[in-house]
Amino acid sequence: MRTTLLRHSLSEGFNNLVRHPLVTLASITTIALMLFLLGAFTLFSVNARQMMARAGEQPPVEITLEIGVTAEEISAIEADLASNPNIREYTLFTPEQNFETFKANLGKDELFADFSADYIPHTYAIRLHDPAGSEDFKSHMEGLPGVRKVDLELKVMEFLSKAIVWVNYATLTAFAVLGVVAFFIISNMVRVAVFARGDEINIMKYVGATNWYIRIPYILEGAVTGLLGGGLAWLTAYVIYTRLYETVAANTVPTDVLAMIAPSELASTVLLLNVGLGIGIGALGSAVSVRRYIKV
Amino acid sequence: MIEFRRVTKTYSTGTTALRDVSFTIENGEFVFIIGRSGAGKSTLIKLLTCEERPSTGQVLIDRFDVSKIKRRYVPYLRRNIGMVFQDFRLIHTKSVFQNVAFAMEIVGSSMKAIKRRVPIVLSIVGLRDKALVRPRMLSGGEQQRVAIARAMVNNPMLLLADEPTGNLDPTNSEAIMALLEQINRSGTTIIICTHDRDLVDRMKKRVIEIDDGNLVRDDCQGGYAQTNPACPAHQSQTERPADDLFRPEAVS
Repeated sequence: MRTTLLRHSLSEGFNNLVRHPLVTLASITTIALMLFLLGAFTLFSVNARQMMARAGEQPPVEITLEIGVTAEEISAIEADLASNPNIREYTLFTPEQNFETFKANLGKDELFADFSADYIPHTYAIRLHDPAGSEDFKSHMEGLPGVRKVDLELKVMEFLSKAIVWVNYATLTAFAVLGVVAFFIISNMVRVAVFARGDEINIMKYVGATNWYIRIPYILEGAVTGLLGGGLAWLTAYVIYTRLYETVAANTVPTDVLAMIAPSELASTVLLLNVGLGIGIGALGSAVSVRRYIKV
Repeated sequence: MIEFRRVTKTYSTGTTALRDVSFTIENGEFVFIIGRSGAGKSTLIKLLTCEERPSTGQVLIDRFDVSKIKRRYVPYLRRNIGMVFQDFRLIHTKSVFQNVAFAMEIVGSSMKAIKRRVPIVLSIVGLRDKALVRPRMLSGGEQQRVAIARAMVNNPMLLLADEPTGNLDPTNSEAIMALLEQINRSGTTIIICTHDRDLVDRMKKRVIEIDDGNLVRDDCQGGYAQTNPACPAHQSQTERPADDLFRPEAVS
């Protein structure tokens, strides 16, 4: 029985696909569009999360002390930092160390041959446990003697954090809207197929075909449509992402905060997502509509 | 044995198609159901195939009450019933062989069994040489013979024919009836709904007449209009739940 059912389902399912090529094409295109947008949002979200993670590895808070700060003032500041439970780690950089870093970044030592490190301030690089408390921390530190200013390097993180939330909302909305559209198009595709084969289905019912015998070819048809749509969406997203990656990679190093994730690392994840959802939506849309239109 | 016990069928529109109809058909009988259009003949067939359920009363096949059969077991009941229609209902995208094989595929027969059985059945209906032809290339009589081949290929215990000669000329009608009679001789119960007066008169089989939903005549070896002695009343038997018989494992 199973062999016969499988053979019948496969042949009928594929025949249905080619019987109404324009309807099939419309369904594949709609699913592909929906899954492409989903893939694009996913790629953005994954990259944004990586950028956030890298940005988090950079010291997010920098305290600049007054030039000529006294040793007592530095001790008081250090004691304050050591007693703050929100501080994960802190490092003091002397004027000499900062001067060396400055020269190294500029790459022209000869310009600073007569320059004294006395004009460079002490600084602290600080990493917080909870970035949400950074504004309070800034106000507190700026009130201490010897502190000139406190810089928060959280702008990029804040932007990325907000962007991820909006991308998630947009992904969900786009997925819901396009999912409904895809569902109705697939439903229509199955309805056309069912109407075109109404007599045949009636005959099948009269000779004792079970519900599943009649329904499985349509569900298979939906699943194959979803598979093709998902595959097309993945291919489009992959090609565009690779082009974008090559363009961005030309201007960044892989360890840079703004460096994108390599296409090869994401290809299988997005493929699974697109194809899995495509098959799921296609099969589900068909199953629901075939149940509605075939009263077995 | 088929038994209708005080069956009434009223559709949701309020139309009553059958009123308190009772009769019994023994295994291997050949029965004509006659009556005007709208008399209730088709409803009677629909009740036998579970396309419709009686409003009151019981429909029993081999003592199983099919009026209460669960919906999922209906296909298994239908595998024991062959159906022939006035409009043949063949699939025109399939060949004669495929049309007949289709009924065997649905019940899960192996390809080997299909290849062995279908040519035999096509030989019985005289169409073995047209196995690869599409139904549209055949005459009306030949198409009806394909439909009969499809109906009998699974060896059903009951064959229902709704106006099987309605679209055929007298010669082809005669051939189809001869074929159905031949199938009946092998033990299959045959029930034919028809308007064909000549055919009923000539065949001299049992006739059940329905008029406005009422059973008005049940004659053994009757004619379309003539009245012969009524068939002896059959003994009713205690019914069994139909789901026990038509569940998949029982049918295999």
